[in-house]
Amino acid sequence: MKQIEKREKFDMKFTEGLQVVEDYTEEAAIKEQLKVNEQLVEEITTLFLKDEVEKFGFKKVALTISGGVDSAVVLEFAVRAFGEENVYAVFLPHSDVTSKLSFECVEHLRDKFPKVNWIELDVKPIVERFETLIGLETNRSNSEKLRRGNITARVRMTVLFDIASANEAVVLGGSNKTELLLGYATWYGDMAAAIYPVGDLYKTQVFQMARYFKTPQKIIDRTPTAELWIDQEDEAELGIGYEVLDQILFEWIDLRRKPRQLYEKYGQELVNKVVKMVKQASFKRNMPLIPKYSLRTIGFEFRMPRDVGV
Amino acid sequence: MRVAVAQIKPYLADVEKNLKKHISFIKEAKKRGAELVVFPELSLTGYDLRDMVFEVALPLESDELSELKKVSKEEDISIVVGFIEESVEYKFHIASAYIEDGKILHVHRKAYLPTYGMFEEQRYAARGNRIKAFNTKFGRMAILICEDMWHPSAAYVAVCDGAVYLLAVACSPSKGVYTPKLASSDIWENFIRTYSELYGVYTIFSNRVGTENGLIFWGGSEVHSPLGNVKKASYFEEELLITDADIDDVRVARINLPIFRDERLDMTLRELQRIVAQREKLEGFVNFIDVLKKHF
Repeated sequence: MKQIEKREKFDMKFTEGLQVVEDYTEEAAIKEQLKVNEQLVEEITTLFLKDEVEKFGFKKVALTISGGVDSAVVLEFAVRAFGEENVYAVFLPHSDVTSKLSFECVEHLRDKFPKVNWIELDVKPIVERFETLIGLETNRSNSEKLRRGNITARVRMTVLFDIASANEAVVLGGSNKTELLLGYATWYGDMAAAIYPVGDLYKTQVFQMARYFKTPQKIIDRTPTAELWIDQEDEAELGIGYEVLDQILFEWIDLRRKPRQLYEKYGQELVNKVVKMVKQASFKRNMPLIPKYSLRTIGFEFRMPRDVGV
Repeated sequence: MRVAVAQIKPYLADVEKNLKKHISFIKEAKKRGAELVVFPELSLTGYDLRDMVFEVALPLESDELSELKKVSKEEDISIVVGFIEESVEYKFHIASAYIEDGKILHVHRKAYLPTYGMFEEQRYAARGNRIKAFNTKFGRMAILICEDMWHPSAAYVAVCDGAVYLLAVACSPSKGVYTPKLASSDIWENFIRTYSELYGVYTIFSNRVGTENGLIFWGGSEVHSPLGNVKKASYFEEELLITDADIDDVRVARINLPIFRDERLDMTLRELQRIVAQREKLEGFVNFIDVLKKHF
């Protein structure tokens, strides 16, 4: 009861830089603080998408649909911003890898948004041709599994960008904040996009939005997976559950606590592991390095805003 | 005074297009009876300019500002406009000009340039060094630009200098979506209310809308009377807000709550001077606070 009252008081205040009350350092409180105002997120994201895409001179958007929660929520935002008929939802299963569950989840989305332009294409023949040409034997070792997964992601990217180009649509990516921080995505694969509509939402916040949007329950209930190989599961592969992961990231990044302040609560090993992953993925969140020696180098003295002249 | 707040969505770094937009909003405001139209911070240029600062900067004698001077005379309307000012010393300021009867009556150069978190203004712009009220045909006013408003001392100086209309122009981006209200709008509305009702002044808040490089400006412009009456524009959408801002409200507010009358400038000044002197004396001490505690 006391917690709820305090939470209400907390709600009334400006949260930025606020010294959090003692009780709120507890796990339940952090979980509570991670919750977003869904209506506000819906309103701001929808408006942002509309404004930016219009500014680029486009009316339509394209995105890949995987049957997972991230792409489903991006689809929800896209439909709200542009209307179903202006959205290209591209489902690119690999018929050997993509599970029956994923097909079912996509089917539910199709039922929900029947007027969206749905495109489905099995990428298996393309991926296999790739593998043969570069001499990659499938499923032999973990590193080959990873190479194969990355090839699949980049094949999907190529197909998606072609569809977007053919239909004059802007590519939306499905990367969320947790994924971008950890680098748990394929560089120039599923990360390739003009806009990340859920890039400032942690994975658990994406789930919160999915529940708010009444996204098909099957999608909300399923275990998160990148599905780049059979039986891959995010949380097993990362070695940490999304709930705890998001709490660590939120406390470290959003609340600016030092990693060692989190040792007691989450364990030193786990905290350091997360911090290391975020550091190692830094390259994925930045543009490629350029050696600086001219008078005005891109990224140093030359800093032109992205939205200029559009 | 009938005031219009032009809650616009400027084009980033496109002064020509923005000038056209200004003129159409000014004409519309005039048509609806406004005598003053207030545009947001950097309304002629957009906000997140980065290197483009140096390409869109305007000297006060520029054709673009002359065009607005002309319009103010022709349409008989006063205009507050935001732009990057290029000074004769080649300093670049985030500035807002008050134009009346074909002349620039006053220019305020942003005194507080946020350079932290998502902001990097001081990388490109020079700081203004003055907060000054000025007379207009509608009464005494002062302009404060965005971060200036976050410093209660700046509003205090403006009010002490006799301003009864605070023209608060801003490019405030959205931040904080964990509470019932957007955190950035919540705190802005809080201090606008505090300044208006404590000091007995009008706050005319002109905030922009639109998006730039991922920033989402929330609008919600308002005219807050010293008696607590608020006329508010929508959040996130372009709008021309028009309302009366009757100076008589200032009189009534200052009779009801004479905070301004009772202000003790001499005491405030004396104490500030003492604090400044002490701080200077203590500079160089590592344990600043400890020394402060021990000595005073």
